[in-house]
Amino acid sequence: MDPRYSILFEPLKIGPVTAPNRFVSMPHAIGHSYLMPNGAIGIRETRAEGGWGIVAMHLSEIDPTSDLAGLPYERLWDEGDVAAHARSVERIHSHGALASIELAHTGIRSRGISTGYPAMGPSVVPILKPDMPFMAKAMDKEDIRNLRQMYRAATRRAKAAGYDIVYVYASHEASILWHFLSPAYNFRTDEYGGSFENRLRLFREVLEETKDEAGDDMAVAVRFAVHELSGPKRILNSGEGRDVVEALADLPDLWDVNVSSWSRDSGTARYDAEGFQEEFTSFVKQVTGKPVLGVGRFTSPDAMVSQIRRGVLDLIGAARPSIADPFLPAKIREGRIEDIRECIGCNICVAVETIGVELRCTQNPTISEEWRRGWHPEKIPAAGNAKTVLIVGSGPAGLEAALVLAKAGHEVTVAERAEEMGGRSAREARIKGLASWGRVKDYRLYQLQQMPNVNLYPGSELDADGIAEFGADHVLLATGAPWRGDGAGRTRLTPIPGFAGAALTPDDVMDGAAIAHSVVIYDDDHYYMANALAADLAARGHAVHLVTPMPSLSAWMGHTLEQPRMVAEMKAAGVRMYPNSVATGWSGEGLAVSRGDTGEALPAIAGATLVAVGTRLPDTRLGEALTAQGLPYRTIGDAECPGIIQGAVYSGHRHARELLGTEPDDRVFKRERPTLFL
Amino acid sequence: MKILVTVKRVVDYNVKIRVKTDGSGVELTNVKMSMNPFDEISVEEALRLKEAGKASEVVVVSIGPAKAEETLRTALAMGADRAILVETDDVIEPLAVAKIVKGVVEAEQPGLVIVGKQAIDDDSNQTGQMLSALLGWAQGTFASKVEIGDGKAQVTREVDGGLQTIEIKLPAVVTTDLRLNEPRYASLPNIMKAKKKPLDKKTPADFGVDTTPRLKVLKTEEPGGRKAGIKVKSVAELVDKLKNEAGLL
Repeated sequence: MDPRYSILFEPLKIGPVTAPNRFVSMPHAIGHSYLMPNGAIGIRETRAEGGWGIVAMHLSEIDPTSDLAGLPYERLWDEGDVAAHARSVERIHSHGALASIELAHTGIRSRGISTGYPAMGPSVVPILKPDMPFMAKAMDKEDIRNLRQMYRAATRRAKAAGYDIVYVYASHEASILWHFLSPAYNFRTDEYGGSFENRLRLFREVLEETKDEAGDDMAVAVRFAVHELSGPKRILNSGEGRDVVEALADLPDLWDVNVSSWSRDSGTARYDAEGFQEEFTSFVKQVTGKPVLGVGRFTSPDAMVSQIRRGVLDLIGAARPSIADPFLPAKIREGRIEDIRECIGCNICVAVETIGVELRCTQNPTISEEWRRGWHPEKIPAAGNAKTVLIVGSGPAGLEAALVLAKAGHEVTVAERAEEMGGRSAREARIKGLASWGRVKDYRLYQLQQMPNVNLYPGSELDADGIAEFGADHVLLATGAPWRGDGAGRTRLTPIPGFAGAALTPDDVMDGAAIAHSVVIYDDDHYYMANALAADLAARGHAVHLVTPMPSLSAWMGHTLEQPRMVAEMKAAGVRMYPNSVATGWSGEGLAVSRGDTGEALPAIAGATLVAVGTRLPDTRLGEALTAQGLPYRTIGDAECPGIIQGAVYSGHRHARELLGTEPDDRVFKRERPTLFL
Repeated sequence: MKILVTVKRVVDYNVKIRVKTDGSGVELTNVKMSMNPFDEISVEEALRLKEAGKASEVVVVSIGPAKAEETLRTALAMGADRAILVETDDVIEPLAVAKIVKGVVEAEQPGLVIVGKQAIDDDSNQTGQMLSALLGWAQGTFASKVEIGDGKAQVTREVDGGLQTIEIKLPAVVTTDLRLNEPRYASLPNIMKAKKKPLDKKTPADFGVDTTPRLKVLKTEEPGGRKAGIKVKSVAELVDKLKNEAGLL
């Protein structure tokens, strides 16, 4: 092992248990609720196999009064839930890792609509979801006594399941302990409200009682947000955030500290750099003698070592980096730093969880497929006999398919029309704020460049005759999908008068088209492209008008947790924003718009250059020419169906596996079926 | 004028090199191979001279195993006119290479031979100089600029102090340095076209060269790994460590 990184592999005593190394796969939503235990175990076991010293079970609700209705979380309500947890723990232990569980009562974050028990909290307040018409009831003394018993009982069940570390969770505004602590939500006048000591009381009681139940077998961790970066009456690390750590200093066996809210804890690469939480959490180790665990989207072993050596953290927590590369610790241990598949910090993992879907990742297409499709992130089944494969296009789909097929042993040739390999992963990475998109190509190109059975050819446009002449056994078309310039978008599927021929597309902008000082960007795409171009052009001195027919800018960035940061970025960059504005035409006077809701005409938005960010259409000419010649081929990635980069990588991976013949012919993978008539 | 360019098949420059466990050399089994980067620069320079009307034909030669044909095809795809493969599975040391190339030169009668200054596998940096001596021709080594005049060439050389420009008589041997040019890619369509270009096969025996090695490799080992850094508490401690431990002051 590289001596520079050996400190990451030193065991650490945490109360009665010992972590085998400093890598912690953090609790985080994985889109597999208690209804899909096999898939969830597949994700966690793969991490234990990949070398994480502690593998966490994510937020597990301890009682039906905690009801994150519609969101796929875990439960540990009664004895009947223990078996699935025990199985998960057993699979984690089988690889030498410790298993932890984040027990939680979600208090006023609950919704009460699924279980029928109302959400409850310190006071009568709306639940923490303003767009839902539900309230939380105030807990009386008996409710509080019951709640403490719930925590005790859940801790006993966690112990029965075999967990090594049990969490007392008070972070992300998602724990009832936080709701009691926060002056924003606690309006009580009894011994559980008012002064800091009173608001801390429930937290302290639950922690002490959890310690009591855990006994000498389990360590007890506290997960606490020491600093709030948003929200009313924020708890700050210069005030009560620090006071909590001081008050409970050596009570838990482990401090797992972060920032709140969730959207700030899970900052994307566009807004937060690796290690961004250090300035908020570094004080904790000065206050407590117990081990400290923290996060910061760490993918670099040097950054991890630096955190430990400088006394910031004892354990390196990772949620997103462990999704992107479940084998990150093993690769560091084996000195294979170049093989780390680094998280690009895009938050597609978070976004799909918010719509109740199994975990997805731009960098790791095998996530969530471990059990149901038998996909391993590092191992590809060997092909029986080596075939030649020609892949046309080196974007995310082409490179991923090339990597899978080359690992299987095929002779792979990738032909790229452009002088540079990488497709959109290379092009979009040059837009301000999107540099980490380049990691998609960087990881794959490096891997492919090492392989003797791979040939990469930039500057190599092929036509159907060229493909026929090459004579590959298999042809994959990964030719991407250019942006439309005619105004057709997601809310309006047909061209907008005056756009065609006049509007620039994002492709034109990325190719360096001439742009006038005053630019109107019309966003009918609703993800990052329009606002990233707006920020980029504003930084280059343009006066930018960002117009969208939707009521708010970039609805999907609400799911990636970036929307408020993005709007703030636009404002700071001087970009003028026009939500709820439907484009009806482009002329010398600028962009004609009307209100999205009422249809009333609005004043035209003047500008000299129009950039249309609508939808994309695959270029099908090459496929049609091959069909005309009777040559078989597969179309993959954006060329098959335009989408996000995650979709392109996944498509490349899936098509490659299908070509290897390991996937079900009828497309139906293994499923978790409910048991009928218990 | 005809230009002869030498190309060598080496471990691809992107590949992370691993030493064989017995220390006898670098691991080559199942490792990606490609054209020595300095030779790509040599081919590019020859092609540019041809495109500028200073040369009539570019001939590429490689000495190595049958697979070196792929490397020659790459040079042909870049634009070379024809190729010669001197096929051998033996380890060929620079002197033997120079002798074989001398034989090729005598057969082909080029006005200029362009050789990479070194190959990235053994870093010998000998072949060009030896070839020049064997032929009795002028040499311009480590070229960062080459200008062909009437019966002579101006070669700008990268030397320790900076740049040195010399004038040499043709025919001559030029060895290429990194900054001479940025070589073009061999595109896939051109690779396919290159399959139709002529490629002659020879053996070292055709040139009467004995390739028996004269050197013995005693040991091959990887550079030592970087040690973990330490944190010092004061400038005084830093100065002390630099003086007494690192020996830098």
